[in-house]
Amino acid sequence: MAKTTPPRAVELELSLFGPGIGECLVVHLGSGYWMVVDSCLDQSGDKPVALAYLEQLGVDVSRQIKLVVVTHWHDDHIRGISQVLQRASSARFACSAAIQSKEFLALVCAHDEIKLVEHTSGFSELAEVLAILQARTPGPFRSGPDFWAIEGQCLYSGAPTDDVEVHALSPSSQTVTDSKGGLGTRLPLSGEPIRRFAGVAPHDLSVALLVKTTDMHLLLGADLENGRDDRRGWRAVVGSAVRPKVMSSGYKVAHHGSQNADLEELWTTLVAKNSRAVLTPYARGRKPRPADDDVRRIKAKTPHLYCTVWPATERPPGRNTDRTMNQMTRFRRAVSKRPGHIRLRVPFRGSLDDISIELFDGARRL
Amino acid sequence: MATTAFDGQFGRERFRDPDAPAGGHETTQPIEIGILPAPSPKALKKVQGDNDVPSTERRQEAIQDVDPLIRLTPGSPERRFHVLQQWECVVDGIEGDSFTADLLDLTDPSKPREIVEIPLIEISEADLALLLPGAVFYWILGYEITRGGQKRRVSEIRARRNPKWSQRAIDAVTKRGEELYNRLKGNGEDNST
Repeated sequence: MAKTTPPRAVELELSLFGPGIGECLVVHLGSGYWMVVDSCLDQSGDKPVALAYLEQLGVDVSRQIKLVVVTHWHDDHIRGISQVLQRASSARFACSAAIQSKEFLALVCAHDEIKLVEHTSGFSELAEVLAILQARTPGPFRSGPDFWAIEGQCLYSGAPTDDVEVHALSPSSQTVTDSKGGLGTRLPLSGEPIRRFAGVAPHDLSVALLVKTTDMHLLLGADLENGRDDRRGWRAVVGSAVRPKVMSSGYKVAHHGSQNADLEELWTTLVAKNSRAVLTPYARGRKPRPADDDVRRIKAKTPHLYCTVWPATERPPGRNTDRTMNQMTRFRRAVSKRPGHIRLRVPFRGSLDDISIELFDGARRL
Repeated sequence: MATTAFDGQFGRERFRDPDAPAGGHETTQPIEIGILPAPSPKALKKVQGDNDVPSTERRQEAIQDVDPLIRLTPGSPERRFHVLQQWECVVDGIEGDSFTADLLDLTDPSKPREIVEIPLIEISEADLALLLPGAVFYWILGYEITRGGQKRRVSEIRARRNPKWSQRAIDAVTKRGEELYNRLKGNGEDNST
Protein backbone atom coordinates (compact mmCIF):
# COMPACT_ATOMS: atom_id res chain seq x y z
CA MET A 1 0.00 0.00 0.00
CA ALA A 2 1.24 3.49 -0.77
CA LYS A 3 2.68 5.34 2.19
CA THR A 4 0.25 8.19 1.61
CA THR A 5 -2.90 6.06 1.77
CA PRO A 6 -4.76 6.88 4.99
CA PRO A 7 -6.24 4.15 7.18
CA ARG A 8 -9.93 3.31 7.02
CA ALA A 9 -12.21 4.88 9.64
CA VAL A 10 -12.40 1.69 11.70
CA GLU A 11 -8.78 0.73 11.33
CA LEU A 12 -6.19 0.99 14.07
CA GLU A 13 -2.78 2.26 12.96
CA LEU A 14 0.48 2.48 14.84
CA SER A 15 3.24 4.24 12.94
CA LEU A 16 6.58 4.16 14.71
CA PHE A 17 9.37 6.47 13.56
CA GLY A 18 12.97 6.52 14.71
CA PRO A 19 16.44 7.43 13.46
CA GLY A 20 19.53 6.24 15.39
CA ILE A 21 18.48 8.39 18.34
CA GLY A 22 14.84 9.47 18.59
CA GLU A 23 11.32 8.11 18.78
CA CYS A 24 7.85 9.16 17.71
CA LEU A 25 4.57 7.26 17.54
CA VAL A 26 1.54 8.25 15.50
CA VAL A 27 -1.66 6.35 16.27
CA HIS A 28 -4.96 6.38 14.38
CA LEU A 29 -7.81 6.41 16.89
CA GLY A 30 -10.60 5.91 14.36
CA SER A 31 -12.74 8.21 12.21
CA GLY A 32 -9.70 10.20 11.10
CA TYR A 33 -8.61 11.19 14.61
CA TRP A 34 -5.01 10.79 15.71
CA MET A 35 -2.72 10.70 18.70
CA VAL A 36 0.96 11.66 18.67
CA VAL A 37 3.22 10.17 21.34
CA ASP A 38 6.68 11.74 21.71
CA SER A 39 8.52 13.40 18.85
CA CYS A 40 11.65 13.31 16.76
CA LEU A 41 12.69 15.27 13.69
CA ASP A 42 12.88 14.30 10.05
CA GLN A 43 16.17 13.87 8.22
CA SER A 44 16.53 17.60 7.59
CA GLY A 45 16.38 18.18 11.33
CA ASP A 46 13.69 20.81 10.82
CA LYS A 47 10.30 19.20 10.95
CA PRO A 48 8.71 16.76 13.38
CA VAL A 49 8.18 13.42 11.62
CA ALA A 50 4.63 13.22 12.95
CA LEU A 51 3.59 16.41 11.16
CA ALA A 52 5.40 15.43 7.96
CA TYR A 53 3.67 12.04 7.87
CA LEU A 54 0.18 13.22 8.78
CA GLU A 55 0.35 15.97 6.17
CA GLN A 56 1.31 13.35 3.58
CA LEU A 57 -1.87 11.47 4.51
CA GLY A 58 -3.89 14.65 4.02
CA VAL A 59 -4.73 15.01 7.71
CA ASP A 60 -5.80 18.42 8.99
CA VAL A 61 -3.51 18.39 12.00
CA SER A 62 -5.16 21.38 13.64
CA ARG A 63 -8.45 19.52 13.84
CA GLN A 64 -7.70 15.82 13.65
CA ILE A 65 -4.91 15.37 16.20
CA LYS A 66 -6.85 14.83 19.41
CA LEU A 67 -4.15 13.91 21.85
CA VAL A 68 -0.44 14.68 22.24
CA VAL A 69 1.45 12.70 24.87
CA VAL A 70 4.99 13.13 26.11
CA THR A 71 6.00 9.94 27.87
CA HIS A 72 9.05 11.45 29.57
CA TRP A 73 11.49 14.33 29.16
CA HIS A 74 14.50 12.75 27.59
CA ASP A 75 16.03 14.37 24.54
CA ASP A 76 15.41 11.41 22.27
CA HIS A 77 11.65 11.62 22.84
CA ILE A 78 10.81 15.31 22.69
CA ARG A 79 12.54 17.02 19.79
CA GLY A 80 9.91 19.06 17.98
CA ILE A 81 7.06 18.26 20.39
CA SER A 82 6.31 21.97 20.86
CA GLN A 83 5.91 22.33 17.07
CA VAL A 84 3.50 19.40 17.08
CA LEU A 85 1.44 20.88 19.90
CA GLN A 86 1.45 24.33 18.32
CA ARG A 87 0.00 22.94 15.09
CA ALA A 88 -2.35 20.51 16.82
CA SER A 89 -4.45 23.32 18.16
CA SER A 90 -7.41 21.20 19.19
CA ALA A 91 -5.36 18.44 20.83
CA ARG A 92 -5.30 17.75 24.54
CA PHE A 93 -1.88 17.38 26.08
CA ALA A 94 -0.71 14.77 28.55
CA CYS A 95 2.57 14.22 30.39
CA SER A 96 3.65 12.28 33.43
CA ALA A 97 2.10 13.20 36.78
CA ALA A 98 5.50 12.41 38.27
CA ILE A 99 6.91 15.67 36.96
CA GLN A 100 4.13 17.78 38.47
CA SER A 101 6.41 19.18 41.10
CA LYS A 102 7.94 22.51 42.01
CA GLU A 103 11.38 20.95 41.75
CA PHE A 104 10.97 19.72 38.19
CA LEU A 105 9.44 23.01 37.08
CA ALA A 106 12.39 24.80 38.66
CA LEU A 107 14.64 22.76 36.38
CA VAL A 108 12.45 23.80 33.45
CA CYS A 109 12.79 27.41 34.50
CA ALA A 110 16.56 26.98 34.47
CA HIS A 111 16.47 26.46 30.71
CA ASP A 112 17.23 30.12 30.04
CA GLU A 113 20.53 29.70 31.85
CA ILE A 114 21.24 26.33 30.24
CA LYS A 115 20.56 27.80 26.81
CA LEU A 116 23.69 29.87 27.31
CA VAL A 117 25.78 26.75 27.16
CA GLU A 118 23.61 24.15 25.40
CA HIS A 119 21.47 24.99 22.41
CA THR A 120 19.51 21.75 22.32
CA SER A 121 18.14 21.58 25.83
CA GLY A 122 15.03 19.45 26.18
CA PHE A 123 13.82 21.84 28.82
CA SER A 124 13.42 24.51 26.18
CA GLU A 125 10.88 22.22 24.51
CA LEU A 126 8.96 21.82 27.76
CA ALA A 127 9.05 25.54 28.43
CA GLU A 128 7.66 26.08 24.91
CA VAL A 129 4.93 23.52 25.52
CA LEU A 130 3.87 25.20 28.76
CA ALA A 131 3.87 28.59 27.03
CA ILE A 132 1.62 27.22 24.27
CA LEU A 133 -0.78 25.74 26.81
CA GLN A 134 -0.94 28.98 28.76
CA ALA A 135 -1.58 30.97 25.61
CA ARG A 136 -4.55 28.73 24.87
CA THR A 137 -6.20 29.59 28.14
CA PRO A 138 -5.61 33.26 28.85
CA GLY A 139 -6.74 34.60 32.18
CA PRO A 140 -6.33 33.62 35.78
CA PHE A 141 -7.48 30.02 35.44
CA ARG A 142 -5.39 26.92 35.26
CA SER A 143 -3.62 26.41 31.97
CA GLY A 144 -1.28 23.47 32.39
CA PRO A 145 -1.36 20.07 30.73
CA ASP A 146 -4.84 18.65 30.21
CA PHE A 147 -3.68 15.47 31.90
CA TRP A 148 -0.98 14.77 34.43
CA ALA A 149 -1.03 11.14 33.46
CA ILE A 150 -1.03 8.44 36.12
CA GLU A 151 -1.92 4.74 36.20
CA GLY A 152 -5.59 4.00 35.61
CA GLN A 153 -6.39 7.31 33.93
CA CYS A 154 -8.37 7.38 30.68
CA LEU A 155 -6.84 10.00 28.37
CA TYR A 156 -9.11 9.57 25.37
CA SER A 157 -12.48 8.09 24.66
CA GLY A 158 -13.71 8.06 21.06
CA ALA A 159 -17.22 8.10 19.73
CA PRO A 160 -19.34 5.15 20.93
CA THR A 161 -19.30 3.77 17.39
CA ASP A 162 -15.51 3.71 17.37
CA ASP A 163 -15.07 2.08 20.77
CA VAL A 164 -11.53 3.41 21.18
CA GLU A 165 -9.92 4.40 24.46
CA VAL A 166 -6.44 5.42 25.50
CA HIS A 167 -5.41 4.55 29.06
CA ALA A 168 -2.32 5.53 31.00
CA LEU A 169 -0.74 2.48 32.64
CA SER A 170 2.01 4.36 34.43
CA PRO A 171 3.54 6.08 36.35
CA SER A 172 2.31 4.33 39.46
CA SER A 173 1.12 6.29 42.47
CA GLN A 174 4.25 5.24 44.33
CA THR A 175 6.48 6.55 41.53
CA VAL A 176 4.69 9.89 41.67
CA THR A 177 5.26 9.99 45.42
CA ASP A 178 8.94 9.08 44.97
CA SER A 179 9.49 11.79 42.39
CA LYS A 180 8.28 14.64 44.60
CA GLY A 181 11.40 14.54 46.70
CA GLY A 182 13.82 12.97 44.27
CA LEU A 183 13.75 15.59 41.56
CA GLY A 184 14.72 18.27 44.03
CA THR A 185 18.14 16.69 44.40
CA ARG A 186 18.79 17.37 40.71
CA LEU A 187 18.77 21.12 41.22
CA PRO A 188 22.23 22.62 40.69
CA LEU A 189 24.40 23.65 43.60
CA SER A 190 26.02 27.02 44.00
CA GLY A 191 29.42 27.05 42.30
CA GLU A 192 28.60 24.18 39.94
CA PRO A 193 29.26 24.97 36.29
CA ILE A 194 26.12 25.53 34.24
CA ARG A 195 25.63 22.55 32.02
CA ARG A 196 23.01 20.42 30.43
CA PHE A 197 21.05 18.39 32.99
CA ALA A 198 21.89 14.83 32.07
CA GLY A 199 19.25 12.18 32.72
CA VAL A 200 17.06 14.31 34.96
CA ALA A 201 13.88 12.28 34.83
CA PRO A 202 14.24 8.56 35.49
CA HIS A 203 12.56 6.16 33.10
CA ASP A 204 10.18 4.98 35.81
CA LEU A 205 8.39 8.30 35.39
CA SER A 206 7.44 7.30 31.84
CA VAL A 207 3.85 7.13 30.68
CA ALA A 208 3.11 3.68 29.22
CA LEU A 209 -0.15 3.61 27.30
CA LEU A 210 -2.81 1.12 26.29
CA VAL A 211 -4.83 1.83 23.14
CA LYS A 212 -7.96 -0.27 23.46
CA THR A 213 -10.39 -0.90 20.63
CA THR A 214 -13.15 -3.43 20.09
CA ASP A 215 -10.90 -6.45 19.63
CA MET A 216 -7.37 -5.25 18.88
CA HIS A 217 -5.22 -3.38 21.34
CA LEU A 218 -1.80 -1.74 21.43
CA LEU A 219 0.65 -1.57 24.32
CA LEU A 220 2.98 1.41 24.00
CA GLY A 221 5.80 0.81 26.44
CA ALA A 222 7.57 4.22 26.42
CA ASP A 223 10.90 3.83 28.28
CA LEU A 224 9.29 2.29 31.35
CA GLU A 225 11.64 0.01 33.25
CA ASN A 226 10.80 -3.02 35.38
CA GLY A 227 10.83 -1.20 38.72
CA ARG A 228 12.47 -2.38 41.89
CA ASP A 229 9.29 -3.69 43.51
CA ASP A 230 5.58 -4.31 42.85
CA ARG A 231 4.70 -0.65 43.35
CA ARG A 232 6.90 0.69 40.57
CA GLY A 233 7.56 0.28 36.85
CA TRP A 234 6.27 -2.71 34.86
CA ARG A 235 5.85 -4.69 38.04
CA ALA A 236 3.22 -2.18 39.14
CA VAL A 237 1.52 -2.26 35.72
CA VAL A 238 1.32 -6.06 35.71
CA GLY A 239 -0.17 -6.10 39.20
CA SER A 240 -2.44 -3.09 38.71
CA ALA A 241 -6.06 -3.45 39.76
CA VAL A 242 -7.19 -0.49 37.67
CA ARG A 243 -5.82 -1.22 34.21
CA PRO A 244 -8.12 -2.72 31.54
CA LYS A 245 -7.50 -6.46 31.48
CA VAL A 246 -6.79 -7.01 27.81
CA MET A 247 -3.96 -8.61 25.85
CA SER A 248 -2.37 -6.40 23.19
CA SER A 249 -1.64 -7.59 19.68
CA GLY A 250 0.88 -4.85 19.00
CA TYR A 251 3.63 -3.84 21.41
CA LYS A 252 5.98 -0.87 21.15
CA VAL A 253 8.85 -2.42 23.02
CA ALA A 254 9.88 -0.43 26.09
CA HIS A 255 13.22 1.36 26.36
CA HIS A 256 14.64 0.29 23.00
CA GLY A 257 14.64 -3.38 23.94
CA SER A 258 16.73 -3.05 27.10
CA GLN A 259 16.74 -5.97 29.47
CA ASN A 260 15.88 -3.70 32.40
CA ALA A 261 12.54 -2.94 30.72
CA ASP A 262 11.58 -6.49 29.84
CA LEU A 263 9.65 -8.25 32.54
CA GLU A 264 8.72 -11.88 31.95
CA GLU A 265 5.15 -11.30 33.19
CA LEU A 266 4.68 -8.51 30.67
CA TRP A 267 4.59 -11.12 27.91
CA THR A 268 2.12 -13.31 29.75
CA THR A 269 -0.33 -10.75 31.15
CA LEU A 270 -0.22 -7.75 28.80
CA VAL A 271 0.87 -8.96 25.37
CA ALA A 272 -0.82 -11.65 23.29
CA LYS A 273 1.13 -14.61 21.97
CA ASN A 274 2.59 -13.96 18.52
CA SER A 275 1.97 -10.24 18.86
CA ARG A 276 3.83 -7.79 16.62
CA ALA A 277 6.65 -6.08 18.48
CA VAL A 278 8.15 -2.85 17.17
CA LEU A 279 10.99 -0.75 18.53
CA THR A 280 13.38 2.10 17.90
CA PRO A 281 17.12 1.83 18.52
CA TYR A 282 19.24 4.03 20.77
CA ALA A 283 22.69 4.62 19.38
CA ARG A 284 24.32 6.40 22.33
CA GLY A 285 26.76 4.84 24.77
CA ARG A 286 29.25 2.03 24.49
CA LYS A 287 26.63 -0.51 23.56
CA PRO A 288 23.78 0.67 21.32
CA ARG A 289 20.35 -0.76 22.07
CA PRO A 290 18.95 -3.16 21.22
CA ALA A 291 22.08 -5.29 21.50
CA ASP A 292 22.19 -8.68 19.82
CA ASP A 293 21.26 -10.44 23.06
CA ASP A 294 18.26 -8.09 23.46
CA VAL A 295 17.07 -9.07 20.00
CA ARG A 296 17.48 -12.76 20.79
CA ARG A 297 15.61 -12.38 24.07
CA ILE A 298 12.66 -10.53 22.52
CA LYS A 299 12.47 -12.90 19.56
CA ALA A 300 12.14 -15.76 22.00
CA LYS A 301 8.85 -14.11 23.03
CA THR A 302 7.59 -13.26 19.57
CA PRO A 303 9.11 -13.98 16.18
CA HIS A 304 7.53 -10.81 14.80
CA LEU A 305 10.06 -8.13 15.78
CA TYR A 306 10.67 -4.97 13.74
CA CYS A 307 13.10 -2.08 14.16
CA THR A 308 12.91 1.37 12.58
CA VAL A 309 16.65 1.43 11.81
CA TRP A 310 19.03 -1.49 12.02
CA PRO A 311 21.81 -1.18 12.80
CA ALA A 312 21.37 2.20 14.47
CA THR A 313 24.85 3.34 13.58
CA GLU A 314 26.90 3.33 10.44
CA ARG A 315 30.45 3.86 9.36
CA PRO A 316 31.34 7.55 9.71
CA PRO A 317 31.59 9.49 6.44
CA GLY A 318 35.12 9.83 5.14
CA ARG A 319 37.11 12.85 6.30
CA ASN A 320 40.68 13.83 5.78
CA THR A 321 41.15 13.68 9.56
CA ASP A 322 39.98 10.08 9.88
CA ARG A 323 43.37 8.59 10.58
CA THR A 324 44.01 10.95 13.49
CA MET A 325 40.51 10.51 14.88
CA ASN A 326 40.71 6.74 14.70
CA GLN A 327 43.95 6.77 16.63
CA MET A 328 42.52 8.92 19.41
CA THR A 329 39.26 7.02 19.87
CA ARG A 330 38.41 3.49 20.90
CA PHE A 331 35.38 3.48 18.66
CA ARG A 332 33.58 5.87 16.33
CA ARG A 333 30.04 5.41 15.07
CA ALA A 334 27.93 7.73 12.97
CA VAL A 335 24.30 7.92 14.06
CA SER A 336 21.72 7.27 11.39
CA LYS A 337 19.87 10.54 10.71
CA ARG A 338 17.11 9.12 8.60
CA PRO A 339 14.05 8.05 10.60
CA GLY A 340 12.83 4.60 9.60
CA HIS A 341 9.09 3.99 9.68
CA ILE A 342 7.14 0.88 10.72
CA ARG A 343 3.41 0.94 10.03
CA LEU A 344 1.04 -1.52 11.67
CA ARG A 345 -2.59 -1.54 10.63
CA VAL A 346 -5.46 -3.75 11.72
CA PRO A 347 -9.26 -3.39 11.80
CA PHE A 348 -10.74 -2.68 15.24
CA ARG A 349 -12.73 -5.88 14.89
CA GLY A 350 -9.86 -7.98 13.63
CA SER A 351 -7.51 -10.73 14.67
CA LEU A 352 -3.76 -11.27 14.68
CA ASP A 353 -4.03 -12.64 11.14
CA ASP A 354 -5.48 -9.33 9.95
CA ILE A 355 -2.45 -7.28 11.04
CA SER A 356 -0.46 -5.75 8.21
CA ILE A 357 3.07 -4.50 8.72
CA GLU A 358 4.68 -2.12 6.22
CA LEU A 359 8.30 -1.01 6.41
CA PHE A 360 9.55 2.29 5.00
CA ASP A 361 12.80 4.28 4.90
CA GLY A 362 15.13 1.57 6.11
CA ALA A 363 12.94 -0.09 8.75
CA ARG A 364 13.39 -3.84 8.83
CA ARG A 365 12.35 -7.07 10.42
CA LEU A 366 14.89 -8.50 12.86
CA MET B 1 52.25 5.29 17.25
CA ALA B 2 50.75 8.64 18.02
CA THR B 3 52.64 10.74 20.51
CA THR B 4 51.20 13.40 22.73
CA ALA B 5 52.87 15.93 24.96
CA PHE B 6 51.26 17.97 27.68
CA ASP B 7 51.96 21.59 28.35
CA GLY B 8 51.40 22.23 32.03
CA GLN B 9 50.82 25.95 31.70
CA PHE B 10 48.11 25.74 29.09
CA GLY B 11 46.98 22.24 29.98
CA ARG B 12 46.96 21.23 26.37
CA GLU B 13 48.10 18.28 24.43
CA ARG B 14 49.96 18.07 21.17
CA PHE B 15 49.50 15.34 18.70
CA ARG B 16 52.22 14.30 16.33
CA ASP B 17 50.95 12.82 13.13
CA PRO B 18 52.59 9.43 12.64
CA ASP B 19 52.41 10.03 8.92
CA ALA B 20 54.16 13.38 9.04
CA PRO B 21 57.47 13.57 7.20
CA ALA B 22 60.43 12.29 9.18
CA GLY B 23 62.32 15.01 10.98
CA GLY B 24 59.21 16.97 11.97
CA HIS B 25 59.85 18.84 15.17
CA GLU B 26 58.05 19.80 18.33
CA THR B 27 57.49 23.47 18.91
CA THR B 28 57.32 25.34 22.17
CA GLN B 29 55.49 28.28 20.67
CA PRO B 30 52.14 28.65 22.41
CA ILE B 31 48.93 28.42 20.47
CA GLU B 32 46.09 30.33 21.98
CA ILE B 33 42.89 28.38 22.29
CA GLY B 34 39.82 30.48 21.74
CA ILE B 35 36.64 28.74 22.79
CA LEU B 36 33.67 30.10 20.93
CA PRO B 37 30.06 29.89 22.06
CA ALA B 38 27.83 27.19 20.61
CA PRO B 39 26.60 28.02 17.08
CA SER B 40 23.66 30.37 17.27
CA PRO B 41 20.25 29.20 16.10
CA LYS B 42 20.67 31.76 13.28
CA ALA B 43 23.89 30.11 12.15
CA LEU B 44 22.29 26.68 12.31
CA LYS B 45 19.28 28.00 10.41
CA LYS B 46 21.64 29.09 7.71
CA VAL B 47 22.54 25.47 7.19
CA GLN B 48 19.09 24.03 7.58
CA GLY B 49 16.72 26.73 6.36
CA ASP B 50 16.32 29.21 3.55
CA ASN B 51 15.05 27.14 0.68
CA ASP B 52 15.95 29.77 -1.91
CA VAL B 53 19.64 28.99 -1.65
CA PRO B 54 20.93 25.71 -3.07
CA SER B 55 21.91 23.37 -0.27
CA THR B 56 25.54 22.88 -1.35
CA GLU B 57 26.01 26.63 -1.47
CA ARG B 58 24.42 27.01 1.95
CA ARG B 59 26.65 24.31 3.35
CA GLN B 60 29.79 25.88 1.93
CA GLU B 61 28.75 29.25 3.31
CA ALA B 62 28.13 27.72 6.73
CA ILE B 63 31.50 26.00 6.72
CA GLN B 64 33.17 29.31 6.05
CA ASP B 65 31.13 30.82 8.87
CA VAL B 66 32.61 28.52 11.47
CA ASP B 67 35.51 30.35 13.04
CA PRO B 68 38.52 28.31 14.00
CA LEU B 69 38.57 27.52 17.69
CA ILE B 70 42.36 27.61 17.78
CA ARG B 71 44.05 30.88 17.03
CA LEU B 72 47.63 31.97 16.99
CA THR B 73 48.66 34.35 19.70
CA PRO B 74 49.23 37.88 18.38
CA GLY B 75 52.86 37.55 19.46
CA SER B 76 53.67 34.73 17.08
CA PRO B 77 52.85 35.96 13.58
CA GLU B 78 55.32 33.54 12.09
CA ARG B 79 53.03 30.64 12.84
CA ARG B 80 49.73 29.79 11.24
CA PHE B 81 47.06 27.26 12.00
CA HIS B 82 44.88 25.65 9.38
CA VAL B 83 41.72 24.04 10.76
CA LEU B 84 40.63 20.80 9.12
CA GLN B 85 37.90 19.69 11.45
CA GLN B 86 36.10 21.02 14.51
CA TRP B 87 33.72 19.11 16.77
CA GLU B 88 31.52 19.99 19.68
CA CYS B 89 31.56 17.05 22.11
CA VAL B 90 28.83 16.58 24.71
CA VAL B 91 29.93 14.11 27.36
CA ASP B 92 27.48 11.25 27.67
CA GLY B 93 29.12 9.05 30.30
CA ILE B 94 32.41 8.33 32.01
CA GLU B 95 33.43 4.80 32.84
CA GLY B 96 36.81 3.42 33.82
CA ASP B 97 39.61 5.01 31.86
CA SER B 98 37.49 6.53 29.09
CA PHE B 99 34.38 8.54 28.33
CA THR B 100 31.74 8.45 25.61
CA ALA B 101 30.53 11.58 23.87
CA ASP B 102 28.20 12.83 21.17
CA LEU B 103 30.17 14.66 18.49
CA LEU B 104 28.46 17.41 16.52
CA ASP B 105 30.33 18.43 13.39
CA LEU B 106 30.89 22.19 13.49
CA THR B 107 32.80 22.14 10.21
CA ASP B 108 29.92 20.62 8.27
CA PRO B 109 26.72 20.43 10.34
CA SER B 110 25.01 18.44 7.60
CA LYS B 111 27.15 15.43 8.49
CA PRO B 112 25.67 12.90 10.94
CA ARG B 113 26.58 13.14 14.58
CA GLU B 114 29.07 10.59 15.85
CA ILE B 115 29.30 8.60 19.06
CA VAL B 116 32.87 8.08 20.22
CA GLU B 117 34.79 6.63 23.12
CA ILE B 118 37.90 8.61 24.04
CA PRO B 119 40.51 7.48 26.59
CA LEU B 120 40.90 9.89 29.52
CA ILE B 121 44.60 10.08 28.81
CA GLU B 122 43.77 12.24 25.79
CA ILE B 123 42.36 14.94 28.08
CA SER B 124 44.64 17.45 29.72
CA GLU B 125 44.89 17.29 33.49
CA ALA B 126 43.47 20.80 33.78
CA ASP B 127 40.29 19.67 32.02
CA LEU B 128 39.76 16.31 33.73
CA ALA B 129 37.81 17.86 36.59
CA LEU B 130 35.39 19.35 34.05
CA LEU B 131 34.68 15.98 32.49
CA LEU B 132 31.12 15.39 33.71
CA PRO B 133 28.01 14.13 31.93
CA GLY B 134 26.54 17.05 30.01
CA ALA B 135 29.82 18.98 29.84
CA VAL B 136 30.83 20.41 26.48
CA PHE B 137 34.28 19.92 24.96
CA TYR B 138 35.73 21.04 21.68
CA TRP B 139 37.97 18.91 19.54
CA ILE B 140 39.95 20.65 16.85
CA LEU B 141 42.15 19.00 14.26
CA GLY B 142 44.35 20.84 11.84
CA TYR B 143 47.79 21.80 10.65
CA GLU B 144 50.22 24.05 12.42
CA ILE B 145 52.49 25.75 9.88
CA THR B 146 55.64 27.57 10.83
CA ARG B 147 57.21 30.44 8.86
CA GLY B 148 59.78 27.98 7.59
CA GLY B 149 57.00 25.93 6.07
CA GLN B 150 57.17 23.09 8.56
CA LYS B 151 53.74 21.51 8.76
CA ARG B 152 52.49 19.36 11.56
CA ARG B 153 49.14 17.88 12.39
CA VAL B 154 47.74 19.05 15.73
CA SER B 155 44.82 17.74 17.76
CA GLU B 156 43.41 19.69 20.69
CA ILE B 157 40.61 18.69 23.04
CA ARG B 158 39.56 21.44 25.39
CA ALA B 159 36.65 21.86 27.79
CA ARG B 160 34.42 24.85 27.45
CA ARG B 161 34.62 26.94 30.61
CA ASN B 162 31.00 27.63 31.47
CA PRO B 163 29.78 30.20 33.93
CA LYS B 164 28.88 28.83 37.34
CA TRP B 165 25.58 28.75 39.18
CA SER B 166 25.30 31.39 41.86
CA GLN B 167 23.06 30.93 44.87
CA ARG B 168 21.12 33.96 43.71
CA ALA B 169 20.42 32.35 40.33
CA ILE B 170 19.41 29.07 41.97
CA ASP B 171 17.05 30.91 44.32
CA ALA B 172 15.53 32.77 41.38
CA VAL B 173 15.03 29.57 39.39
CA THR B 174 13.48 27.85 42.43
CA LYS B 175 11.10 30.76 42.91
CA ARG B 176 10.11 30.76 39.24
CA GLY B 177 9.48 27.00 39.46
CA GLU B 178 7.19 27.51 42.43
CA GLU B 179 5.29 30.29 40.67
CA LEU B 180 4.90 28.17 37.55
CA TYR B 181 3.71 25.24 39.65
CA ASN B 182 1.05 27.36 41.31
CA ARG B 183 -0.01 28.85 37.98
CA LEU B 184 -0.35 25.44 36.34
CA LYS B 185 -2.14 24.01 39.32
CA GLY B 186 -4.68 26.84 39.26
CA ASN B 187 -7.30 26.62 41.94
CA GLY B 188 -7.98 22.92 41.72
CA GLU B 189 -6.44 19.83 43.18
CA ASP B 190 -7.76 17.14 40.87
CA ASN B 191 -5.51 15.29 38.49
CA SER B 192 -6.71 16.63 35.17
CA THR B 193 -7.58 20.14 34.21
